[in-house]
Amino acid sequence: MTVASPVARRRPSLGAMLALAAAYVLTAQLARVAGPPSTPQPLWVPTGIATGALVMLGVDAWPAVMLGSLVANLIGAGSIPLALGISIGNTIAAAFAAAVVIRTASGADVFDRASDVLRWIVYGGAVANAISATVAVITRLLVGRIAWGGWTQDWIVWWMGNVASTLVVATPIILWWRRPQVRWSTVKLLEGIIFGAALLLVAEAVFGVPLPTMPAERYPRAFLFFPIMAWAAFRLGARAASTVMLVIAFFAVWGTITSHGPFIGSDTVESLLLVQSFLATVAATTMVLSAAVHESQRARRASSHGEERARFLTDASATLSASLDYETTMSTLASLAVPRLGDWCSIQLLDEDGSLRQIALAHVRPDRVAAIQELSDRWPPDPHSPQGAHQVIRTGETIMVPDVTDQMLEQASQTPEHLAFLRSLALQSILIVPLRARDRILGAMTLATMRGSTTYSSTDREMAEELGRRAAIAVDNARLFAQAQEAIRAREDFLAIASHELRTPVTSLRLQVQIVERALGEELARARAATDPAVGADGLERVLGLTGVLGDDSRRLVRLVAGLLDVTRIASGRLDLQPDDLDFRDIVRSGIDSMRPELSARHVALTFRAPLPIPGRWDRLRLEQVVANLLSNAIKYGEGKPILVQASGEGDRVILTVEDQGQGVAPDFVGRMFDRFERGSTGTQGLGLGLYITRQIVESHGGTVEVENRPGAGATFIVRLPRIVEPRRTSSEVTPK
Amino acid sequence: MKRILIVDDDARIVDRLAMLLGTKYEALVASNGFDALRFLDDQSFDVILLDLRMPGLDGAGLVQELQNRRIHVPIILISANPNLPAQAKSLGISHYLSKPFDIERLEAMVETL
Repeated sequence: MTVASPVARRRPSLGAMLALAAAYVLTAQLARVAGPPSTPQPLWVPTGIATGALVMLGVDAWPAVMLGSLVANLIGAGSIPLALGISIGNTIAAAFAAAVVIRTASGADVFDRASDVLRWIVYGGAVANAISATVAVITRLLVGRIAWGGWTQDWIVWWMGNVASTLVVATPIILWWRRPQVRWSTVKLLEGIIFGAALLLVAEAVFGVPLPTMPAERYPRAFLFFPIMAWAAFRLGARAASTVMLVIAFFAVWGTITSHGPFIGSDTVESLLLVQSFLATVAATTMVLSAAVHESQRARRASSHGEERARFLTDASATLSASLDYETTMSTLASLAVPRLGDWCSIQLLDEDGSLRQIALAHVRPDRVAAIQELSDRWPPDPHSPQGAHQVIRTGETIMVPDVTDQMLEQASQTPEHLAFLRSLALQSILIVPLRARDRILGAMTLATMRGSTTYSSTDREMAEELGRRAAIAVDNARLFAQAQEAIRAREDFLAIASHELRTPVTSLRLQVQIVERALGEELARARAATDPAVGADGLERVLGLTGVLGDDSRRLVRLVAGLLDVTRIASGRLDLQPDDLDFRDIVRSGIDSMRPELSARHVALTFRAPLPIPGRWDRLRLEQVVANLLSNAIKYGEGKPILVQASGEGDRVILTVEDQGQGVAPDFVGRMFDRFERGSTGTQGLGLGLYITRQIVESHGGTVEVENRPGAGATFIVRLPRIVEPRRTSSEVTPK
Repeated sequence: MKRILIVDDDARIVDRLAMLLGTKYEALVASNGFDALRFLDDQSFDVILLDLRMPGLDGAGLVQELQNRRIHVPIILISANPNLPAQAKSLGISHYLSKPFDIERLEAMVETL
């Protein structure tokens, strides 16, 4: 971890630095007064204070260490060169330890990870204090305080005293400085009391009266502290464990000074080394253990948080996909978010005019909903405000305010009354996330917690953003659905109008053509009956022939209009069936009758064979259309040769065949002849819709249509249909779940 | 000779229908349901050709009114409405022709009634 603590980056204040220097001097004096009459000390407390403070204040606070050390050593050593040398060494050591911890071991969070703790022990403890011990020993040698022969022992004792102090004293300083609040519960208090009693008991056992059964030195009594430290590490956390370590250190030093306990050596130096080794070892082990426990707990919490998060998002997704009425859905979602994501949740959507409309509001106290509604009604947020939902919508960036301050409320308020109202909401944390779908911001979701509740973290932010994304997709889908519905409605309206408006003049045209045909026919008959050649039967015949083209074209127009409208209906999935009890033969006959004019115009002979009644249930008009389309096709490609139409019933199915004797279908066209806008050849008339519509109608009846192609000899279209067809409404309207 | 009442608001269609049918039948014309009712009050018809969409009393309204007045005349619905089969069914009418249609088909249908 190379993330420096935010505390460490701040420039230390003069007050803090003076306090540090004073603490250094005071503890040094205290150690000299109350501690053993030796130099060095078994546990040089000022080193721990200096290192811990520099980790928290930043390396920039080193002059405080220098000052404190200089004053303390001037008082203690009485020699300026000696005090200066020792102070420089101590300052370099503390600054080095703090710099390494801040840069490489997560700074103030150094005790959260075992790997950081190891760095702390090695660099902050061993390496840093080797510097100060070396500088101090050299200085002491130079000023003649120690003899050249005894410098190694002096170095070791000096080093060990500082290492023990770094590990035992700096650790609780950092941990308490980082988080000074204590949250007590009855269970915790009870456990603390039992723990304290056990600690005193063990201290008494280790440093108190020796047991009579065995000589004191034979008991490895110091080990009794290990279960105590393990208990603290596992149950009470790193901060408590480091505090307990401090207490144990006090007992160990005090016991050893007063010649009690297992650390009494043959001389002062041996005793010092024994107690220092013990303290450093127990402190290091405890810290690594605490960090490992912390890591495992954090992993467990993260995992359970992840599960909770997944569960919540699953619930939210289910809510979001439950309905296409997004206003209801958003209300449910807001209720779901409270209290899992906050004490209060509001969802606002952007209207077309750019204004924000609140569509959902939920509060952990339902009686507050009206009050919050009043807030936005009475003091609508300024659309240009650099804070709040408008800002989130403008930038698409989440706004997270972990701690809402009174100053923020003052800035956000429009009037004193507004400020009073905002204060009454007792806000702790605010989180506003954008609702974004397809790169468009649709609105914003505001979550808030109240004082005494939780403070939002980056995890909450991620969760809220994910929820916002899902909500936005739901809103977007619902809106798209509504638009699609509207488009379908518009198309159907158009279809109905177009159908009516096109068919009416075509009807009129057809009737007019038929009037002319009949009138001419009658005139022609009269002319032929008359013997007077002046009547001009030949001329009338010629005019009638010309009118025939009109008739053909008007019929084609009828079919084209009908075909286009049918295709539109098929495309919109609205080819409905209205089955009736019928004889299939009658349907085929009607279909053939509707094609009589074309048949006679092209002089095509048609034979219809259907010897037996074929009762069943079909949509008469639609199947007549099938017959007409197949016949139209046979006439078009049958080269004027006879057409054979046959209908028969076989069990629960009926079969219709239309057979022509033309050139058959071009092999490359067979595969796509039933597709939309496909024509047999470019020279043929029509839109290429007849066979497509035929197939759609047949398939909507649950039947099939296929072609038996005989290249050069014609083609037979075979339609197979079930005998009973159920009514069908293929409405394209999707029913919302 | 069968008497036919043509009820449709489109003058071009009723005029042509009357002309074509007039050669075989006695065809009278009404431009909406109310006009038709006035004819039906004092005359009898063999067939009514009825459009659905008309101002005033429309086709469906006229069918309802005829039922109320217990006037039983066979009806052939003629309409450009794409849902004609369904509408015919809902009105209890089994004869209908979708506009546009061939006069021969209409004549054939009239003959069966």
